[in-house]
Amino acid sequence: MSAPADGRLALVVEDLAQTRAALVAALLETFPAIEVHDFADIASATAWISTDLSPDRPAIALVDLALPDGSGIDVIRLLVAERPQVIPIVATIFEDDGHLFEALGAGAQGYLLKDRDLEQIGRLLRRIDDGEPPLSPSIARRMLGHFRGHETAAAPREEVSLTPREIDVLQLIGRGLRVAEAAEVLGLTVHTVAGYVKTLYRKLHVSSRAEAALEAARRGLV
Amino acid sequence: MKPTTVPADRAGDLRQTKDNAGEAHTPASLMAGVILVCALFMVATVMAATSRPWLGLSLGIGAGGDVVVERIADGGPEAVPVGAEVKRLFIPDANLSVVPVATDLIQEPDYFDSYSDFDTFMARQDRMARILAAGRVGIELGDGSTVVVTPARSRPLSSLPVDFWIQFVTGISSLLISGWIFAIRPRDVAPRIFVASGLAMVLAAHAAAIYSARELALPAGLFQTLSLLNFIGSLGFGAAAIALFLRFPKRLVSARGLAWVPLLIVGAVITERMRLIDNQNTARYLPMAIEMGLILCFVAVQWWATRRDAADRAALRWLGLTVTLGAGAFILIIAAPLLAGVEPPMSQGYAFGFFMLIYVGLALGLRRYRLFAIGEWSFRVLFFAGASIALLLLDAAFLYVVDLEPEPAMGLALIGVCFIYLPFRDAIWRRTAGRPRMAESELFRAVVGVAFDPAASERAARWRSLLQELFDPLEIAPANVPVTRARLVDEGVALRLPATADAPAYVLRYPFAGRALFSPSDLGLARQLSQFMSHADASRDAHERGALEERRRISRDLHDDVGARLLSALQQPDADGMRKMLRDAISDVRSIARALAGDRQPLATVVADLRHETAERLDAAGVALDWAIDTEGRLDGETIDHRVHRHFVSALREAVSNAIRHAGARRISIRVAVLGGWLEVSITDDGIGVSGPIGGGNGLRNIEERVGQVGGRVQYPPTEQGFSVAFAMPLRPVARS
Repeated sequence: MSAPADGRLALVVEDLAQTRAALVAALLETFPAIEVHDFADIASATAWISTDLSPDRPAIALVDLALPDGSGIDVIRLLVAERPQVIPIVATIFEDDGHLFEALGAGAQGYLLKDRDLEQIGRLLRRIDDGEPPLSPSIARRMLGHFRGHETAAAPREEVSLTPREIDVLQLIGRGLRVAEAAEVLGLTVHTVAGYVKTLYRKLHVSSRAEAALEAARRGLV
Repeated sequence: MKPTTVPADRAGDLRQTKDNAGEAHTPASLMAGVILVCALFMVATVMAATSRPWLGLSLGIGAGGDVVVERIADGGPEAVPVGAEVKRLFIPDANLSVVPVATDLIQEPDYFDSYSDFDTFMARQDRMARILAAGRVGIELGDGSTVVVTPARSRPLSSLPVDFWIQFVTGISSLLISGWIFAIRPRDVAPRIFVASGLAMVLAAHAAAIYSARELALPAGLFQTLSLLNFIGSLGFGAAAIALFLRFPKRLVSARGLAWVPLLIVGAVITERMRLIDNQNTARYLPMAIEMGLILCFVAVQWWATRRDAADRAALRWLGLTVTLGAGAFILIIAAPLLAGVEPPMSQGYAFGFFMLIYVGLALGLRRYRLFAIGEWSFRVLFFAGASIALLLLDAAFLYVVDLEPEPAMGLALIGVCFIYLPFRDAIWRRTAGRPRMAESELFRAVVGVAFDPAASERAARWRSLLQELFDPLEIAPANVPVTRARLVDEGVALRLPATADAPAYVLRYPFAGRALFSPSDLGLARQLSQFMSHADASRDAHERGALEERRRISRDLHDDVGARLLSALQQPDADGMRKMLRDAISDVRSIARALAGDRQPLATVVADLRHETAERLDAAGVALDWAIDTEGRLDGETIDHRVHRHFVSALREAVSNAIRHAGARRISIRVAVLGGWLEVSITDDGIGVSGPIGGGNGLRNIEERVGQVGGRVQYPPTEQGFSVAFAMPLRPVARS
């Protein structure tokens, strides 16, 4: 590989050529000197990930969910399981797409809306890169519902139950506040609230995985 | 409805009740009755034939026309040499003797032309019977020697000749087959006539079997009675066949129009008894020949009547063929030669076998030609009746075996009964005739499966098969009367169910394979079932209506919002304007998709999403937002109609766009509140404001249009600086015209 191992690296998995180009352009504009690899389907993306992507290499991956040969969630699962240094981000058109929440549960660490302009996408990418993933009111509400359901479904474990502060954050965002505004209301720094959001993403992933295992055990698959 | 009118359903019931006065019977119980009658006939006939004094000799006619001993039966008197002539029969020590002649051995006394020959024959029979009834019988043989024989008190079964058994089986199978058809359709006229023919046949055949199989003689009284029964039976069979072809396949006459048919029998019997015709043979066989002529005549009329009905014609062809061939062969072989004064070429006993052809042929044709409108299921009636009889026999055999056990074994036998025999018997019974009941949960699942099958025809088929499974009726037919509520008919022979699940109203007959009647609990189940089905139907209909309404709404939204946006995007002169329009179109799609979650959305959620979206937009544009969130939950519990939701979101977006684009504002304040069922919104910016008349711009016109769509109002409150627009919309608008 010609690029220096410590240089920034990005993957784009998107089947629409124009959108793919726009996402690549947004990445190049946001992170100068980034190395971008783009794929139109799951097969070529997974092939490249398994053969050419070193497990130690940090990277950003923008993954569309509806791909011609399957769901992008599978690519996200692969990255989460085998390339933990990669930050998977869902590229979607609709933030209330039913699959988006599933993708977040699978370990995606953020999402972006593809209809936004280059500048907005860039700003979002930079924020995710800074550890401040986006959280819309509808996703915040779904998270609340998810954890509430989870608490009653199985004995809550430390790592998947929410702290009162985290619940406050979800409730405020669910009512329409942005992260910075929620921080202001709670008297916390933006950085702290962004940290909560990151934790929430991780807990969602862990509890979804536990839920899936529980479900599999219940059905006798494991 | 006029007060005097009887509802159609009730009227149907009244008619039914009148038609079917009397107790209801299941086919299986009727069939069991038929089998019982058959058994009685069998026992009576065998008893009558065997409980006669028996010499053990088989007598025949020698070359010289004299009576000779042809054979000695097993257990017969060995002292009598085979081939010897029997010259005289007498009672030792008494003054009673008879010289047997060839005509004494005649099977059928109808053969005598003259009544005097007949009377002589009967008198000789009576004398011989008295000799046989004495404890000891003297036989004087041709060589002059005398043997004294002690007749057995009864005759062994094995000594009965083949033609006895042919007549016996013919009679029983006639009654059994016709009784079976009667058991299935006891209320129809044709099967009633048919069972009458079977009764007549068993009478004729069994009477003839008894007297034609006699060893030598019967008492005159018994003989004459049997002969008369045979005569009446034969006439009755012919009369029944006539009546049958007057009613089947086409109804040539009403049930009342059959009244003259029995007169044929009465007339013929009176004529014969009064000896009005001076020839016994003619008096007996002429009426039968006349009947045969009438049968052929009515078959011909039926042939003409069924010329336009292929199914009836096929049924007639089969029934007509079996009856005319069976009865015709008998008439041709027995009656015609006798009437012509010629000896019949075949024994009457064998000729009776032709009648069996009729009934067996009918049983064979039953299914294929749907004779008497009997379906395939009728064979199950036979099967279950057979199973019940077989089990009774098993019980009897068991009791017999137990009875043979010596006393001490009694306790053991009782234990055997409790632990082995009864469970075994129960298992067999359940195996053959059990009525499996559906479990509640299974029933529920089945009903839901029926109700929510997407295809109407499939629903109807599944409903029918559910009824079949639940009640196992022999017949499911569309009810020809309107049914509003499930009800029992004919004291539980049938159950009527209202139309449901896209199936017509049904009438179920003969539940549980004809082995039981519908009970009140069956009725309860049926009522519950049809009620449940109609509820399910209604909710499915409502659901389908709702889905249709939703589809209409989506298409309207796509057309009005997304279509209009895409059109204006198309007409934008610059790429930036086009992009903005296209993003708006995508936002519209997002709203439409979100609205699929339900007709009415929680207002708090709608406001939260809109606030977030606005904050993002303003952040990108570098404008500050002053929009306090609803921390007290004042919006909680409020819902917003889909149409209002759409227009509210669009109007608010438009107002924010205006502020960003035209006002040069640095801060925008937004307030959303609910007041008396109205959604009140105000958007104020600190921009350059508007000079001149308000409402001229495209953006404001859009807002006014949107708000106007749901009957809301727009205001432009004066502000110190910048611009303010306020609008109010009803949360539940009246329907759009």
